[in-house]
Amino acid sequence: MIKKKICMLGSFAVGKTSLVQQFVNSIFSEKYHTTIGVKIDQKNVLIDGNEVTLMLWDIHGEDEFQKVKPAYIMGSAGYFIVMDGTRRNSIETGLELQKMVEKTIGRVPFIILINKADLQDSWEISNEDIQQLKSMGKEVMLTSAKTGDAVEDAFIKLTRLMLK
Amino acid sequence: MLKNNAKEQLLKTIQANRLHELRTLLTGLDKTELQQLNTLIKDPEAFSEEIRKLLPLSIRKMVDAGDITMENLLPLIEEAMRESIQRNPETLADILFPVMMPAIRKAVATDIKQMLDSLNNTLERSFSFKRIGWRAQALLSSRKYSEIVLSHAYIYQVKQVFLIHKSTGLLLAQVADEQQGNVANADMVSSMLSAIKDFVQDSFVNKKGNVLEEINVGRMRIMLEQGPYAILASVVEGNIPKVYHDLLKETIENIHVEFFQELENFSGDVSPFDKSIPLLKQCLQKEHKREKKRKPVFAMFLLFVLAAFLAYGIYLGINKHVRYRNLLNDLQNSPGIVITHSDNALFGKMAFYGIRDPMAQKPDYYLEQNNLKVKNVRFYFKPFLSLDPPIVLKRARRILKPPQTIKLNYNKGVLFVSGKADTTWLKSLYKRYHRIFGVEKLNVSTLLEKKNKKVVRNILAIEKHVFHFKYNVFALDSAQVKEFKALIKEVKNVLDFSFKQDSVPVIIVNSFTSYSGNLKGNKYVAQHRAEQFINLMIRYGIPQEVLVPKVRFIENYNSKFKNRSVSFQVKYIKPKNL
Ligand SMILES: Nc1nc2c(ncn2[C@@H]2O[C@H](COP(=O)(O)OP(=O)(O)O)[C@@H](O)[C@H]2O)c(=O)[nH]1
Ligand SMILES: [Mg+2]
Repeated sequence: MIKKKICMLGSFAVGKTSLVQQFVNSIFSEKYHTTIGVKIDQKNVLIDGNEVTLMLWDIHGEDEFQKVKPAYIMGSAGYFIVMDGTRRNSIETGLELQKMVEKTIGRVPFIILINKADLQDSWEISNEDIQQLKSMGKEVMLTSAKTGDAVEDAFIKLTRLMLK
Repeated sequence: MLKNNAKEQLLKTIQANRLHELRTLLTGLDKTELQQLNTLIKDPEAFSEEIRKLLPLSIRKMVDAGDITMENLLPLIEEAMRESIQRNPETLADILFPVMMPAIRKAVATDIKQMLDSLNNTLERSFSFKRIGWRAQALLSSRKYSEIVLSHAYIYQVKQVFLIHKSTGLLLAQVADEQQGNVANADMVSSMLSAIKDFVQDSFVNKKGNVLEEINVGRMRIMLEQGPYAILASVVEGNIPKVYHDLLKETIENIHVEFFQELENFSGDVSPFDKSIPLLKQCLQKEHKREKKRKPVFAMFLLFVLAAFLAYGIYLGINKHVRYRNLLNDLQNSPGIVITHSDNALFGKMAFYGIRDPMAQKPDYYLEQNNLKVKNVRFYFKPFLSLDPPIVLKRARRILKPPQTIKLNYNKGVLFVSGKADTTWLKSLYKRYHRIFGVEKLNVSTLLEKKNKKVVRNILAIEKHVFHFKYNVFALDSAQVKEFKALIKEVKNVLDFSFKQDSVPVIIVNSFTSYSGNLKGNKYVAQHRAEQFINLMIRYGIPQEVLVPKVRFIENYNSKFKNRSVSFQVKYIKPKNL
């Protein structure tokens, strides 16, 4: 039986919790989230006939007041860097976080999720921005926690990357 | 030659140079440096100063290199410390204080916590209405009543043991108490625990080496034992004994030994850790509360009461009998009381039958001293006269009314009289003693009586004489003459002796007459008769001064004195009253 720890990282209100919510049925209340800065969920997925247990660590958004505790990202087999398509500065925060994570736990698979795809009309993030991210060799996916667009795909994709 | 000399010279130079070179090569020092060294060695002051600088460093190096060990040094250090403490204990206390205080504080805190825990435990256990509380608990919480009861049936119970991978927080293995069953979301619990641990350790327990050991969640206690790669989390309800910590510690150590490879290279595959389950199961400890056997309290109480009553009854019975025996004994020993038979019924009054001299002690007198009440005892006594010496004496005292100076004794019909008394009393003694029941003889040994027995007897004799005269006759007949002569003798004996220095005897000559007829004539005749008698006595040599004539009327016919009789009284009167 394979178990993997996955972290949800990104600036505040980009939709990390919503994405997890879309993927699993949470059992822990939001209370933990704000108290200790992390919320944990679990999702069992079948990848090529193998059941994998994913432990999803939804880590409270990075901002100037709250730094991500390195202990929370320790041991992650993979992670999402979530950005908000409607907020351009969430790219910067996301990239900084990604660097920090790599420094802390080394190179592990990650995917950049540009969320709120349902609001693409009012996006600040342009196609050029996305192309630039891709050109840096980074995996980028556009998701919507609201519609569920590409959410499951994203989790499956990251799991596959982690199992490689 | 010269060539040789030069050659030699050259050789020497070369040798010198070589020596120098060799020296430099060997020591790494040039000549000046060597010279410096030389002077340093030769100067002890400078040398020791140099060594002083080097010594600590070299000791450090020696320890690091393993040339000397701490074990070698410790005795020396200890010795030095002991010396230091003896010299100045305060300095050392100052040094040790900051080191020891946290340790002391921690120890104290642990002790207090344990104390509170055990206190709580005892309180909880002794509270008899607790089951009602559990019902309420079951109503208020989502737990089943049976589950709550089960949890209270143990002093402590380990419900779950998780083996958690330290850095990922992933659950490696899990065991649970059979009655409890595995936790549904064990994986999330495991991660959550790991997150909480990280959070707490990060936020509060900042110091190195200090790790979170315990998380309290309601009644539950989660004990964490951390190893380098894995954490053992034990969910406990109740008051866990201290040794359990040691068990957790041992277990996590064993797991690290057994699964070192798997832990170090862990990448999400938890299947190898199934083999750790037997180890984890050892941590599923619980201790049953010792169910006290219900004692038949009520029956025991009844039995006790019964026994108490019985014992009290026996006690009362014995007590009553003892008092009965004592009273009987007292009565039997009481002079003037004879108990013929007695009765002590188990339920009822005691009864004593017998005879009692009126002079004897009243039987009620013995009740109080035997703790008995009048209502519980009956006496049936018939009166009789006792010859018990104390009763005879009592009787004697009643009749004789002896002065305090007189002592009475009684033995076998004889009344012994001793001490001091005046003649009047002695006279009464002789008159009255025969009235005392039980007294047949008198044994008088009073101070007075010894000398004057005869006088007293004479006085009594004088007072016994009665001379009867016929109408208008004053002469004595022949029998009366004989009696008169005896009287004169007795009077003379009495007059010869004066009892008391301040008093003299007087013989009163009583001439009796009656109220019948001419009183005046009667009185005259009686007076004349007395004077005639006195003259006769004077003629027989009795001094006139001691003779006093007195006419007495006979009060009634029952009087022992007869009309026309003369009798005598002896009286002592003070001379000045004459
Ligand atoms: N329209 C839209 N709103 C979203 C989406 N994802 C999140 N939100 C909203 O964004 C806000 C922040 O979401 P949340 O999941 O709490 O962000 P987190 O702080 O990253 O966990 C909430 O009001 C969400 O409803 C999305 O895909 N589309
Ligand atoms: Mg959130």
